[in-house]
Amino acid sequence: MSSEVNWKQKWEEHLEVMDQVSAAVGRVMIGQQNVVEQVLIAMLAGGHALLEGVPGLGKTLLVRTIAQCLDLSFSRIQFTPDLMPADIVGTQMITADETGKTSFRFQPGPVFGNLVLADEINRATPKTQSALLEAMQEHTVTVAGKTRPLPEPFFVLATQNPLEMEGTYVLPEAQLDRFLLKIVVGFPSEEELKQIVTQTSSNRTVEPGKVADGALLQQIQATVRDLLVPDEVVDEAVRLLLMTHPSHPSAPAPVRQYVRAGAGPRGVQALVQAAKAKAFLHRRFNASREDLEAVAPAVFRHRILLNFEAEAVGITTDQLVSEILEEMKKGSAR
Amino acid sequence: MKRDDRLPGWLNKLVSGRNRIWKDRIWRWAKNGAWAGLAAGCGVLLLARAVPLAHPGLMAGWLGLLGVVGGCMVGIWKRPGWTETVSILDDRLDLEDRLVTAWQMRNAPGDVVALQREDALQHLQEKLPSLKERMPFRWGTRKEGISALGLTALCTLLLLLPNPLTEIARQQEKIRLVIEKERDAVEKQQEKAAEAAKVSPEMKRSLQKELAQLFEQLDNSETLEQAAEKMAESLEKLNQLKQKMEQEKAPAEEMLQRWMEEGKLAALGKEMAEGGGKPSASTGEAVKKVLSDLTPDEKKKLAQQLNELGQKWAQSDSASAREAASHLRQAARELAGNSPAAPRSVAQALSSAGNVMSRQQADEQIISQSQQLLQAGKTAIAAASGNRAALGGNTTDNRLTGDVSTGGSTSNNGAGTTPSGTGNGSGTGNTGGSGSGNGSGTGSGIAGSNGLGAGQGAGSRHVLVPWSRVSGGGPRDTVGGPQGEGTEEVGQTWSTLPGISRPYEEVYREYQSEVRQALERGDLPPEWQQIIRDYFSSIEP
Repeated sequence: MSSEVNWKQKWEEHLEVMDQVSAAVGRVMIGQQNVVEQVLIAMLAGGHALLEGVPGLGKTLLVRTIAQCLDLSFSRIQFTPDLMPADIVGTQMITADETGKTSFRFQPGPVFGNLVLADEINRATPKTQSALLEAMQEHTVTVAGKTRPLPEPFFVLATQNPLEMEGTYVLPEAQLDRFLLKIVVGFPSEEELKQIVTQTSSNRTVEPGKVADGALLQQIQATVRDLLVPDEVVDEAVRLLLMTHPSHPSAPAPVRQYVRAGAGPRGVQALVQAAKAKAFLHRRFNASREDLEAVAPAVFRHRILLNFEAEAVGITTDQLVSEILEEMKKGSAR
Repeated sequence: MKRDDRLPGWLNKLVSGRNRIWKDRIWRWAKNGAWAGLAAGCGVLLLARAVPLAHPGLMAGWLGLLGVVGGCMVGIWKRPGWTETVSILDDRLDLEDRLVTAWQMRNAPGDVVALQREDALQHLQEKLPSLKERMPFRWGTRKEGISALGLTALCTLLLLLPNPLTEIARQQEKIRLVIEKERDAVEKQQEKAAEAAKVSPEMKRSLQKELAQLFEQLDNSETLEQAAEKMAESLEKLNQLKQKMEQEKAPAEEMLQRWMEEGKLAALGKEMAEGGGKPSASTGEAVKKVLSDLTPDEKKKLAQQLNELGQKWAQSDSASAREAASHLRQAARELAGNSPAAPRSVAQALSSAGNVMSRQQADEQIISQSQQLLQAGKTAIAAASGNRAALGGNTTDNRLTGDVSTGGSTSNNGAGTTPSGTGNGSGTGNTGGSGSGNGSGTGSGIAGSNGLGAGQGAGSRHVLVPWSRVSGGGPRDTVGGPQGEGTEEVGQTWSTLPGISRPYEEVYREYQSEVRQALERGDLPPEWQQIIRDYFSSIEP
């Protein structure tokens, strides 16, 4: 009984921390609650997030604020076409000691941080982009034959501009698959815009303040992983994934027509992890089907590859995910 | 649906939820059943407009009732299991899979599991009072009500609108029932014949064969005319059987009559009439006394009579008659040779002859009974086929009449031109002999047609025309009394016989003319007129 009480106490403390983080971010960020929640979901699930939105929507501010709240080391990498992998992961440098003896010393790149902001990630060449692959999947970096661990917790929050296509390089599927969520940052409402203007045109600056640290965040992640997932939810997650595959019998007609390839196995893992994180944020001990439905667009958005016809017609992956969810609801009507 | 779900004590709150789901389900299934029943009933009523159905209204009613009862039964049988209840309640109460998780992990250990269970129960407790609002009883939509009303109205309309096909189907059913009834009567007579102790085995076999054949033919008959025709054919065969029987019986009866008329031989006649079993000592003495009183010529004459009877019976199909024949001939030989053993042989022969006569009597009775049965059946079939009105007479079930009936056959087999025109009737008959009774009844004719006979030449198609349509007086027939002395004279009225045989074309023209006149006068309802025309077209020669 005491362990149960302890666990509950811990759970409540962690929830309290997350509430404080949300509140702190909310003080700095005007609107975008949904984006904030999804970023936190990605962090709690131990995944990375790709934020897509036009410039000026506060993507960088959001990441920086979260880093400040959680007292995480923050690195920002501005991706440009001439950025080299070594500029990200670090390089071997020749240094001389006091005796004049020279030796190679590893100079860590900006990836060695708890929270890495890969700004405009699609502006770098695929070679440079792929420098992040190992870091994102293994949380390690290998330079000159030596593998170095990255500090934990480690998150990559990348941004990309959906409008500017000139001089950009589309992220390869392997890279995209490593992002837990792709979060679309929408344009703020009129009211939110007014608040933004009011808040940023004065001398008064809002500091979010430190709420937690990396170690605590890791504990919260462990708590999230402990949450329960009933078989029905796992079954639905698998069904959802299979429905993104055009060749699967359960796929709805639009998927068969417009999809070139469905989500991979990482998709279903991401779905359940994100559902757990969302359940935690909603003070539940179990992930639910409602959680799956809520996170499914962000999970599948970048994992479903559309065919030429879809692009010609203007079909988006969000529309297809909506179709899949509708079909799923019809099939599992209780 | 798992029936072996066990509800943990901490989930007792689910009972009320399950009962609500169950009631809702029963109602839903009952509605579905009622829909199906109503639709099926409506379908049957519509089908009855295309296909003859005897009782479409009754069928529709039963289908409706069956639908509702069946729907309720299915609903009751489909009681939701606990897993299903949990899933439905979780969904309806917006518990976000809390209940589902708690149910699934009801036996799992762990802190999170316990906390999750607590959380689920707390939310269930909060939301359960709103179950009625969240899960309202679905009585049905307005659209469903209107549709049901429309379907019911359609059914009522179909029930109330007259349907000529239904009348036809009812007639067909009536025909089937009449034929079945007669078939059953034939079967019973078959059993009765098999059980009759005194009847000779040969007669049993013949009757069994004939009645079995008739049973099968009736079973295959589709119309009353067919059934009547088959019964007439069987009746004719029974008549032939009876004639044969009478032919075998006649010499013995003639001999017996002569003895009774002659004073000296009356005692022998009495011994023979009372015969059966082994001759007793008193019989031997009586015979010895009679023989001692006879002159040699009288003895010779007696021997000749016994020999003649023996010769006739020797050709009989009956084994007992053949055995009696040998006794008679032996007695005749010994009597002619004035043998001292003659009285014993004569006594033996008389006993055997009496035995044979007794059997013949029993055979005749069973044939008569069978004839009465068939005649009554024929009358019933004729009545059912609507000929009763044409006959203009009262039909009486002949099975209620006395044992004695006249097998007044007017068979036309002789020339072969009219192969089997048969008219049988059971009429008023007074028999003077013992064991006789009064049989009264008014017969009816049938319109059974007979095909070509066994005779030479082509036979024409004949039908029986009831006497009521033929003017003239009835014939007189004479039959021998079964046990009586002398003959009985039986008077028959014309109405006791079914009719006479006349060419089909002639009869058809006559009937058709009358019907045409009736149609022209408008005596018949319009919905029947086309049916009658079609019928006459179908039977046109």
